[in-house]
Amino acid sequence: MTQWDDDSFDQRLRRSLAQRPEPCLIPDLARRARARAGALVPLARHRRWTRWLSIGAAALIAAVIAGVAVFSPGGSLLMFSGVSSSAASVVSSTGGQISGSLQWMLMGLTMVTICIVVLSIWRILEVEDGSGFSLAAESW
Amino acid sequence: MISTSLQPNAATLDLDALRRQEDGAFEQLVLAHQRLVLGLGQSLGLMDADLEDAAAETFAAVYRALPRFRGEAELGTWIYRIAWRTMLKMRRRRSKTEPLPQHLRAATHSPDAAARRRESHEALWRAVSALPARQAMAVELHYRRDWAIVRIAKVMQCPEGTVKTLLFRARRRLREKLDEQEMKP
Repeated sequence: MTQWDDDSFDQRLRRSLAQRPEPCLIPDLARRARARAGALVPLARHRRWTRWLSIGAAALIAAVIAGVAVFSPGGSLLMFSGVSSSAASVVSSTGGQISGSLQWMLMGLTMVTICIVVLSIWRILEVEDGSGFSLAAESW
Repeated sequence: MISTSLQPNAATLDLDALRRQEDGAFEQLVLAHQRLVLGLGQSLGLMDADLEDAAAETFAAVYRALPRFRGEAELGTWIYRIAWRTMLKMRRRRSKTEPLPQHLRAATHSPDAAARRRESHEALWRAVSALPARQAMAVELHYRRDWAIVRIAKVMQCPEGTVKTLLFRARRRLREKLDEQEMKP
């Protein structure tokens, strides 16, 4: 490890790397990159808006379903009773306007919708700039 | 392969047209910067289809982020930073699934002096590509592209002292590797 002093090794490194052949340039790289970014598909140009629209729609559906589940008779108990531990008590307490199975269905739908919304937001934050890192930091 | 004379000067790129994602301006940007981006991928050990894929992914990320580019940093620095992150991600992904490619393994020894010199260079390039990603990046930018430490620090988003440490460790590792190789009969 002591064959080289720092300066001569620096020189060697610089000289050798300068001789390293450059990779071949890719003639259609710009087109490929735009295709990958979705710019060649007309609809995809607006995908940021469509993505926000779909999240808005999903949030609205979630709010409606949650509203029905909470404000219908027995619904508040359903929402606050937890998913796993109190299945029996929830079903038995729902003697009002909506049946136990319907409430279960609503709760399932709510959970699924919430998951979709969370995943969509996470996905937007990750793929907005295509590189998976903070947009704020990337705007400088 | 495109002749280098066709490459536009990076300094003449129209930032406003780029922010509007105009096709012509983006093509000029890709022509002006793809050599650096491909070189970075090469120094991280990416080759052939992997390298092309990484370059396309990098410029796709650049394309998407262009409307938000405020011009406070140099365009090349900004692009290189995106390239660094994208390629690092691809190298991590590849290293999880594939063994070290043939071109990073030890070369066979040929007898004549010219071939030995060539092998010695190739051994060094292989050793650079096999460095940890941050060290390979620092070596590529500092020794091959002759970038100042301060600019490398901006791309890698770390203090200048960290870049110096990365270069020091890279040099030490490369010397060890080369000494090992040269001790071999």
